Amino acid sequence: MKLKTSLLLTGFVLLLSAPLLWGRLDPDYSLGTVALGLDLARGLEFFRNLLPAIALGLLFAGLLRFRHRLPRLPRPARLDQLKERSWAIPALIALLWLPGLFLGSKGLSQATFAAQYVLLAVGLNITVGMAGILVLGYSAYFAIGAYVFAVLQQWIWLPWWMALPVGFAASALMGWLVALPSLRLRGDYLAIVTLGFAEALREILRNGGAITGGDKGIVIAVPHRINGILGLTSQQVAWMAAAAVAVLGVAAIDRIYHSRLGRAWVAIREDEVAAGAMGIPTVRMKILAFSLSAGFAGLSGVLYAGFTVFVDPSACTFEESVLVLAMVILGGLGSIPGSIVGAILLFLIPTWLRDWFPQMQDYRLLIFGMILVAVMLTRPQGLLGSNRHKAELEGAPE
Amino acid sequence: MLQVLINGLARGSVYALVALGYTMVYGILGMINFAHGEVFMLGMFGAVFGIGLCTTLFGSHLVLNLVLGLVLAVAFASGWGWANERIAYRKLRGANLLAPLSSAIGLSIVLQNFVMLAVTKGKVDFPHYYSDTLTKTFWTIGSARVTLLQIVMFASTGILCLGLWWLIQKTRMGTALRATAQDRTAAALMGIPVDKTISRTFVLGSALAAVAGMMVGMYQGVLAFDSGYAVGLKAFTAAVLGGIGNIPGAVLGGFVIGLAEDLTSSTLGSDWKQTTGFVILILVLVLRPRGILGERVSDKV
Repeated sequence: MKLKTSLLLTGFVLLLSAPLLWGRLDPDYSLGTVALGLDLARGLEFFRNLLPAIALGLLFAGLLRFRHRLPRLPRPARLDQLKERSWAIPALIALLWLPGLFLGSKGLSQATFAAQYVLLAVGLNITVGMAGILVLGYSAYFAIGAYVFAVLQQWIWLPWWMALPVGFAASALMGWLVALPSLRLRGDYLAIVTLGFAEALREILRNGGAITGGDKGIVIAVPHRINGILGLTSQQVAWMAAAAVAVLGVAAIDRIYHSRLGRAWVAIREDEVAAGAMGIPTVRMKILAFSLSAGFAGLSGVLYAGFTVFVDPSACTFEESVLVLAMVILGGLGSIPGSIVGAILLFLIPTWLRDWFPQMQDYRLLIFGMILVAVMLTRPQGLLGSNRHKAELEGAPE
Repeated sequence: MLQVLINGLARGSVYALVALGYTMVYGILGMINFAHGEVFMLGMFGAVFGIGLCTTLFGSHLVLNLVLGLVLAVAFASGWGWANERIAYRKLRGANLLAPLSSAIGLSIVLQNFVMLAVTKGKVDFPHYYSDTLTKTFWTIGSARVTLLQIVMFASTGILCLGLWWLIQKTRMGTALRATAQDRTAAALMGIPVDKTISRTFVLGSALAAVAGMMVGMYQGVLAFDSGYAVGLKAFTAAVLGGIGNIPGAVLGGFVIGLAEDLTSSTLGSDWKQTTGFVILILVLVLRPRGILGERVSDKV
């Protein structure tokens, strides 16, 4: 875009936002009318609060502009090189357990949530990134995992570690049931069906009466939640569990990605009709991807419920689904290291923003949305996406 | 029962107007304009701010301010719709479905939070001095009651749909629009200004959403920064239900969703109102994947 057009556009947007920023509604309740006043201070305050973000954004844009003059970053280590060494995964888990012994409780709980998001992002990457199926209601499967654990543990003896396979199975089963009728649809319809399922599920959880606890949710009983053992605090155990499940999950998905199954998914993503003609059972492969992806969300849901000792319908919101989708897209569709980096960045950046710039607390989502648009416009393949995917995302030149 | 029908038709006419915006953009670009619900919300705020401006300038003239408020709301929302396309979608035209959709989701988050931060986190009352005449005038038919506003909602949706049909079928601009939807490259080769045509589609859809926004503002009496989300989602559902890209389908879908919602709240209770639309959508898509009026689309090889 030329400089003149961008300046004109910026001016136009500022003109459109001016009434909302500087106008002040003065309602006259006795008459029921409203007058429009001027409030200069509030509009200025908006820009002042955004100042750190504007500065960071300009800095980042400048870096991007002159990136060819910067030293090149080393390529991220390839996961498939690790898997040839059988000791790599246990070693990685042990390495990740170490910070659990000296990190403070706040740092630990942030790390635990980050690990849960990694699991979610890598799981969603199966459908969106690898198989090319857009899912807008991923948080539904997270909520199913959390709720199956929370509901069952009221009736039977079910500690969190036993609930992990149960949550995985329940979410995967539900994913399979949703996928069965809807995967015959074309991509855009499917996205809205998954979104509709999540919206409907939240209403069901809210109106579920005694079983789901309604808006109040369910508290996990003391013996079933994540407790401290062997002199470790409950936070340390939660981190170790989340790190171990995340590493194992990532390793499993990586193995699948490089197997026959993973190649079938990529083939479907690239061209479904051609993949079908080559003998890939496309519908069955897509259902499998969907169901597996849902299962990973279920695992994350159980870990979440066990750690926060509480579930309520807010586990199943559209914002949550969009956040995880943004992690996958930002990291790079189809890239496993990308999903991990995307999850950690998008979880930690808002948390840090809140801690460092308390006045920007409310501006978190605004900045988040701007980053999403900016990444799509400048680097649609994501931070760690492959060039091959970039060509596909940008499409053929017209 | 009659009451349910009346309320459902009024609600459905709003969904229909918003659904038109989704379906037109989908028809021409093949993308889901996720931020359209936010344009609807901006139209609501545009109406209240516009009426406020007119009150400050001209005092409290009832009809003059309402009409000028509507004009300002339409202009405001259209401006936003145009800017959205220009900034967030144009560069991604022709890309895979996910890129423009993610950009649209980001844009929708930005617009919602911008209004929340710039105007208010709470709810804004629609100035009831201006809406009272419409909401408090009513006629009774048997046990049911129909307000003037409901008639206005229904009638203006009808008029706007006819106008849109005329615009698309009978004018030069409509021909350009249909040609662009059919084949963008061929249309460009025939000398049709494709960029301009697409921009006009966005402006047209946003204008319809602004009309719907002002009517919903009067109907509900309050508006908030997140009012666009639920309406947008249901209007999109309506567009898919009717067969996305199909203009009569969007109107039909809007009425089906509106009626279904009011039927559910009167039989099962309003707790389940949100769920019905999606249940119908899933059923329709499973039985008839292309929507009620959608054409069969075969995959391109």
